[in-house]
Amino acid sequence: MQQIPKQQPFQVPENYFEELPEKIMARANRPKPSRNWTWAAAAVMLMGVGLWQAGEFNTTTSTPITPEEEALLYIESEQWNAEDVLSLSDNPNELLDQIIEEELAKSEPLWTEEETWF
Amino acid sequence: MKVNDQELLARIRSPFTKELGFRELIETYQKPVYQVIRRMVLIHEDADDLTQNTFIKAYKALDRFEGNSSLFTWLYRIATNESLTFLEKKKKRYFFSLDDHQERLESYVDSSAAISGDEIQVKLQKSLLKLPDKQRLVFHLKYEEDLSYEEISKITGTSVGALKASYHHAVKKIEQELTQE
Repeated sequence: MQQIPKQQPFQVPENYFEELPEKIMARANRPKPSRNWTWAAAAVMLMGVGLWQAGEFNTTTSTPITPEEEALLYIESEQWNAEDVLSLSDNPNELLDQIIEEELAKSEPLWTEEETWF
Repeated sequence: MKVNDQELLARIRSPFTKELGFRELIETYQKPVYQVIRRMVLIHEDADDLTQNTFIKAYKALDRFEGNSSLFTWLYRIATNESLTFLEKKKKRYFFSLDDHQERLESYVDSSAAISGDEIQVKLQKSLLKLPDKQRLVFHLKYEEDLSYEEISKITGTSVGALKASYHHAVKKIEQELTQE
């Protein structure tokens, strides 16, 4: 065991640790863009289903804008918020649970006891 | 839990001192968190990204932190998860591209000024790269960071027995590598 030398600490760019807290704080306070896309995806799906069920979705005529694009426009122009999108669903709670579960899964620890360590 | 941790948490949980408290948390733990990540991913730019991700995830999950472990253990758990996930992604991506991350790391060890020019350090790094990632992590935490098996067990969520066996294998392999040439 004595034959193994201790590793030297890694060098970092000058002032790295002086500047790092500011960079992290800026990121922590930035609104999360992916959340909008989660809502957007949910809205697109619901709107598509809604229009198809209502029989208004005609595939033979060319439309200037698709339902998906229209939903995205509403969200991006902030005319729809999260509650509006949820209200399109028959079961908003189920949709909300699903979205939260997806968000949490992204930050779950990945270790299990059964994994190989050798 | 250390008193310092409790003070930090109290500051972070108060709406009036949240940002100040979080900044203090970063300043307190940024160096060890960065070093443990850097040991695993080697390249500074990757370590920088993962260190930032670690603190952002901690920030978002602080309300759910119950204080059953120290902030150090908790942050190390997030940091090591981030590092292992990153390395796993790089390996998966290799199937779809010509970018072999392992080769990239080896050539980084050969060429980077960030790793001491000492020949034995370069040799050590190269033998470490031959270990499975999790075994390498156990070696770093035990040998380089001098953490107890109990602490490593909390960080990795793995039993002390499995960690001892893993460390024993790692040491044997590295000794073999270093004495080979």
